Amino acid sequence: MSLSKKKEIAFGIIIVILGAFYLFMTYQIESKPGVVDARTVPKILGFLMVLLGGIQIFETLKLKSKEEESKSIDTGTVVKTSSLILVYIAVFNKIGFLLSTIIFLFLQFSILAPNDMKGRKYFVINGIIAILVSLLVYMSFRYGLKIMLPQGIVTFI
Amino acid sequence: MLELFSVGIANVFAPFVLVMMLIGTIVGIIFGAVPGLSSVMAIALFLPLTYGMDPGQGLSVLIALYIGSVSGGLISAILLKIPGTPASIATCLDGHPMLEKNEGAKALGVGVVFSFLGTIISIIALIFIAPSVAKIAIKFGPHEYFSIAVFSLMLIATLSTGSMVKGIFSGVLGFAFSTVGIAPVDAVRRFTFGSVELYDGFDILTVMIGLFAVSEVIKIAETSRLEGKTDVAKVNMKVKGFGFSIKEFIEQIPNGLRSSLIGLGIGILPGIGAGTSNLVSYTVAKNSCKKPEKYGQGCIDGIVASESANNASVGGALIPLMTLGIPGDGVTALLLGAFMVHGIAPGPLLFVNYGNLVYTIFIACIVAAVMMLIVEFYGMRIFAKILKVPRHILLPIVFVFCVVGAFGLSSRIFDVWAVVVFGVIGYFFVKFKVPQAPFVIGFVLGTMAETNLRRGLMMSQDSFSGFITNPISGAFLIATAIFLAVTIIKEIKQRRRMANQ
Repeated sequence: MSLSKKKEIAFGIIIVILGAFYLFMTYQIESKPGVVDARTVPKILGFLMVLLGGIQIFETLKLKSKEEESKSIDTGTVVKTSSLILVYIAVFNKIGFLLSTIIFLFLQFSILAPNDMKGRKYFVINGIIAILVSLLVYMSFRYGLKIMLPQGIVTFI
Repeated sequence: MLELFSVGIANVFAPFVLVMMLIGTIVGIIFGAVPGLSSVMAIALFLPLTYGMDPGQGLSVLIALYIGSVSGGLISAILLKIPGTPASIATCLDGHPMLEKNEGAKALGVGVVFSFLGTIISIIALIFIAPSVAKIAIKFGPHEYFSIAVFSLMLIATLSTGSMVKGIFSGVLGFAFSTVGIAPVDAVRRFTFGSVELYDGFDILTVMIGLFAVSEVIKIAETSRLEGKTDVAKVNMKVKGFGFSIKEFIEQIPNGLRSSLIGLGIGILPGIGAGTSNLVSYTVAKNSCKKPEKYGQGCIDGIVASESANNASVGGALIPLMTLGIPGDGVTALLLGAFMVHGIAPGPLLFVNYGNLVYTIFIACIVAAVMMLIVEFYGMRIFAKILKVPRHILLPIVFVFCVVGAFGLSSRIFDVWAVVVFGVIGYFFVKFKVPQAPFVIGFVLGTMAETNLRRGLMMSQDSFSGFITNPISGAFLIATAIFLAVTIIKEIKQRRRMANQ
């Protein structure tokens, strides 16, 4: 269950940078007289993060190198999935919940489908599930729970 | 008290609530059973549906989901040898060997019955302990709350699994995110980057949904294309009753009782819950048994220990949540958010101002436990089938519900973006093996600690002495210091030992 040394050190560096950035930002906060003001707690947190990052790097350097776990990761699918999520949220409000969700679900099913679940049959099934789920969610929220989801360009339902 | 109970019974036994709770129990069990889906997701998914209900109805449904999902993990733990949720890791150890010995139905029966008993024992404890804790807690001022928050923060950061540095970092980062928005007491704007939407900070629900649900969707992308269809073992369910004899049941009572108490205790501690208690109680049961070698070979003792402990953590986790507003684990953090959506802040005042609601929740717990027992036992065959529904279909649908849930909070696309941001953070946490729970608790308790620190200082004219001289506050601070010192010494010793090897 151990990560490679490089990754552990990279993590330590990320914490230090994050902490330093946060600490820098705390000095932009308006200061008021008193022992403790709005800056105090964030400052402590920033210092803690930098300190933890330092310990993380130091500790990893001291330890003997560990073997990296060999687990194949499908980076292409991860990138595709993340990009699809970003695009979905970006257009969600503009083209509306219904249309964007149908497209999102259909594409996401296809991206994630295992190799033995591809082909025309699954193509159709995925399409039907995407449409049904989107309609069901939209209708139940709009008419059942009276929560308005963005209509976008599909204004007739 | 009896009067409050009868109000609670009347609230829960309304047809609408019962039907919704039944659906909640079923969905909960499914989310518990399917690996990759979790209790947090089940509640995140149902939360938007409860926006329109009154608080009692909404929370009853969420409680049903919670109880169902903690128990549901046993199904896949026995049938797939994969725990559906971390709460059932120890159930696998004896559950699967029993299945191989052709005792699958018995394993499931024992798991279901002791899940039920664990839940009931912990709820009885909840009903008796919570009001008295609330009575003490009602006298607490900012000093006590600050120290309790600090104590809890320290506990979760050090008790969480894996590296201590990472656990503490997770808590600190969560705390740091809670400082975004308008500062307590003096209302100074912090880290808002000129954005009006950031004035109110991030909503706890967006944090939870992102961290636990969205990160899971990205994680599944790593492997989903590489794996094939799921194989579910076939079990002959034609057995009498629950598949075990009365003699076996009586033999297991001490084990079940001890495991339930362990689960209850671990549930009360902040930051750890069902995911830890099943392992601890399994180890305790094994060590206190005369024949420890039979564990892992498929004995019912192991299933009893694991399943009564994980469900007993439910009642335990509800005690600090309802009496102090401190969430015990990820799920209760989400329940805290659910209370807040309905404009109610959990804490000792809950017992004074919303007595009806408190007893409605108590009754809902009991009803949900009974529903879980019946549904899980008679629906076992159906649940076994659902395990076959591919995850690449389920997870994107869960994601859509997450988006709807976040958007439904206040109809802002900002909240949806926040979910995505926390999803990315959650994914990086998974990649670097950083525990997620301390982040959530840090986020919730951070605000509590800071607000009460500043209020306390105002009360004692900028002097810190009030935090020490107040007996309860002082005791918690001393306990924090001792616990921290012990943990650090232990950690250093362990490192030395590792370095010597």
